[in-house]
Amino acid sequence: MAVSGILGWLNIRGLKMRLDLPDEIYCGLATMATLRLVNAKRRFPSFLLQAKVLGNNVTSNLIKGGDEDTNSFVITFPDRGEVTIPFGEIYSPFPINFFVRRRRAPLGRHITIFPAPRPCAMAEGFDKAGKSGGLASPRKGYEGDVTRIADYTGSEPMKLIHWRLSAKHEEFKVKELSATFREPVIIDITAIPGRELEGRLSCAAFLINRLIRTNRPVGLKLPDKVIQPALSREHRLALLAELAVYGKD
Amino acid sequence: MVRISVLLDLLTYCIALLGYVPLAPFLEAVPRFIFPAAIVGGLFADRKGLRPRDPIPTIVSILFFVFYVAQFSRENFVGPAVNLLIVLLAVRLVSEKKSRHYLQIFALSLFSLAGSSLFTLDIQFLAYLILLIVLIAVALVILTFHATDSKLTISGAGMKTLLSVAFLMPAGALPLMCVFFIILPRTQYPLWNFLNIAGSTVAGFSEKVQPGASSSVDAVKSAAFRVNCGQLPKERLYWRGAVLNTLASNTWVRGEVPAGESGYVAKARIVHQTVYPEPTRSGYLFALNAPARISGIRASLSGDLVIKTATSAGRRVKYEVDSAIGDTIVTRKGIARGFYLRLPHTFSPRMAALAADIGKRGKTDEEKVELLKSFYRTSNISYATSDLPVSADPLDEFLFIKKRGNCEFFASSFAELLRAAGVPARLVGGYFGGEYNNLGGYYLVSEDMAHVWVEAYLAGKGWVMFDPSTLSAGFQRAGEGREAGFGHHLRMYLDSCNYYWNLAVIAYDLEKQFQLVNNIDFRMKGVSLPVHPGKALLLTGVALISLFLVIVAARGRKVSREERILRKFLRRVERKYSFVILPSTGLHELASICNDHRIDQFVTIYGRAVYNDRKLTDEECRMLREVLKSLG
Repeated sequence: MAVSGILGWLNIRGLKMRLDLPDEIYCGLATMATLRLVNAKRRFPSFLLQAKVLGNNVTSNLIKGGDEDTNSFVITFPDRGEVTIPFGEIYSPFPINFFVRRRRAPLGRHITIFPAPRPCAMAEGFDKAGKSGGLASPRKGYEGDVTRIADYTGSEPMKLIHWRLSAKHEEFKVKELSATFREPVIIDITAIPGRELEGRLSCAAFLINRLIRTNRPVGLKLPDKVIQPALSREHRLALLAELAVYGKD
Repeated sequence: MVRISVLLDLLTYCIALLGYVPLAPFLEAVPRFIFPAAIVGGLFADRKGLRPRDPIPTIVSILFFVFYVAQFSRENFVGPAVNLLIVLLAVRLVSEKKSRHYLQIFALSLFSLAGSSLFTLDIQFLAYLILLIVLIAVALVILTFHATDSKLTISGAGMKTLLSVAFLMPAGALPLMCVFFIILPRTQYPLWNFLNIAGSTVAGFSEKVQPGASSSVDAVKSAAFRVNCGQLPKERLYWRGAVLNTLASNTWVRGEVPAGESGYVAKARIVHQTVYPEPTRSGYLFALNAPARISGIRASLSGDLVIKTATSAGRRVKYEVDSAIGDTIVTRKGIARGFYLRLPHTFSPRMAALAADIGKRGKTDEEKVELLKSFYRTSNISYATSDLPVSADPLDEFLFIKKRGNCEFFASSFAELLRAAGVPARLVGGYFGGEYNNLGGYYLVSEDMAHVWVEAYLAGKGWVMFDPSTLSAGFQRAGEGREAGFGHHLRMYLDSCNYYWNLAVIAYDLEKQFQLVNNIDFRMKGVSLPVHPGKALLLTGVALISLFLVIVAARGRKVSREERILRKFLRRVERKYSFVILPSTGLHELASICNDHRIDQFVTIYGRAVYNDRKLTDEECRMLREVLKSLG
């Protein structure tokens, strides 16, 4: 018992955990998360590990000393806003299945969950206006032709994942589509039709994504400030982050 | 790839075999046959995937349980219990195996091995025990994987890693067991002793002598006792046990020693012996002829110099005896002659005539004895252990018809004829001979050395010892003529292992634990600095060399300054940014992820030196430490 206790302790110590999430996560929509378990011990391997993060379990049967193991899982966040994941838990019944050892591994992840983008009546108006005078653009977009196949960075929507190619490779592959250039727009949350705030935020998120993907610079009018229209990805994420925390103070 | 279930099954069969093999010689025919059949059946079932599922194995187990429980009694407890264990093990081997079933097999195997210790506790038990502990410990680890996923497969390299870690379990546990064996308190009385008595048998030495009871005597080579003492001449190796002083219808037994009888061996060399007898039920303790003093055990030394104890039944004990080596036992107040001259009513006419003739011709007791000895010498009686006389009057047949017999015939007839001739006589049962083990410095006395001789009371002298068997043609003294080649040495070597096993493990008790502590204390007190300057110099030299070696070893493992600083840096970055830096992450990659000018600064300074294959200068180290400090 004493020896098995020591082995169990050695097995679970020196383990580090890293959670990789895409920087674009929408509430209510499934997203791919990757959990890396790192065995920081020099020589001693770790066996039969079960890592638990946000209610999801992943298992690793063997991680050699100084090695790591990666497991992916699909996760859905139910609410928008900022989320902190301070730690994950690691369990192991090793060496003999009489006791299960548990250890907390710090994660320190702070993530922002954007409102789920939902099509709304307002979007249709933009679509009709945009149909005339669209110009072809060399920028990456989401509605044109497939221009090339690229590695999945975590930010692309799951519908762009090229599953057949991904199955042939160890990494996910995504389709990159072309885009067109259009006039800038500033979205005012209060001006979006609808009674419920969440519905209006979802509409705004949808609009921001849709318009920027169609190469139309988008800005945001908030109660206390106005964010000027721009086209970059960072700008889009900044707008979505504003929507994520809107009304949460 | 290796399937965990295949490895687990293999280990399980090995474990079950280790439980079965030591018990096999003591099992009834049915369990002895069922078990190998179950192994074969289990292997077949594994291949075909056809295993009886519950409740069939449970019902079969219950039926066997009822059958064997019905046989339980106070006298016969161990036999049914071990047979039941093996049958349950066999049933479990052929039936469906889930995690708990594997654990049952491990437990049953361990119990079976423990059960074998109730029959025999040789050093082989230690080998089986160590092997079983190693295999069970490894199997428990494999079982944990099996419980997680029964169809799990692991690569060859992964399995190698797993097994090397799994073997750490027994490797760590066995030394701990040794330590616990020494330090943990234990009872002075074996708890399972009451079970053991029924299983032990007395072979060789017997508390009664009945010539003619069987036509042959099978020699049993098993050890009777071991005696730690110096080497002695072979003719002195008479190990005195029981004195049989009463003859009742052709059977010599031990009767009450006549009151007031008290003997001793005068002016003899005293030999000190430490005796380690094998467990018996008789209670007679053996010592060189004739014992004078006994210690180390609660025992009594009777007037006819017989040692008997009531505490040794079925137990391994040890005692110390001082024997006065001599052939004559002097009595302080004489003896009850009438008691030692009693004869049975039925006495052979030919023997009566022979005794009358000796009685008539011999003037003194000595002369009578000499006349009788010459009769044996001239009668050409041979010493034999087979085709012995078994008629209604076996001694008459032995002396005058078959003229062959073993020590019981020689001693019984000699003593009866002496009594008939008017010389008080009695039989002494014990052992004669012994193989001296030079490795252990002890005599090994085995059951085939059991012997009976005669003591005749000669007026003016006392009880004088005679061994009539030596008067025969072909009596081979024990120990003579044994092989002295490689086989003998090997046997002696193995027996010395058994001797030390008994000494260190079986006879280990609380008293020894205290002795150990006292000895350690004594040795600690005995440590003192050397007074001789040469010795002091030598001691200092050894200490300095040891210190130098330790420093060299420590430097060999020393981590470089660069590595130390880098480790500290990585730890601080991990803590500050709350993420795990993977082993594959480069320093410049890390700097770009963190987007922190301090980290950029560190990476630039560190990379300038290390990536150009040079060591950090003191100035660079100072700068890096400042960066580390600012990182917090």
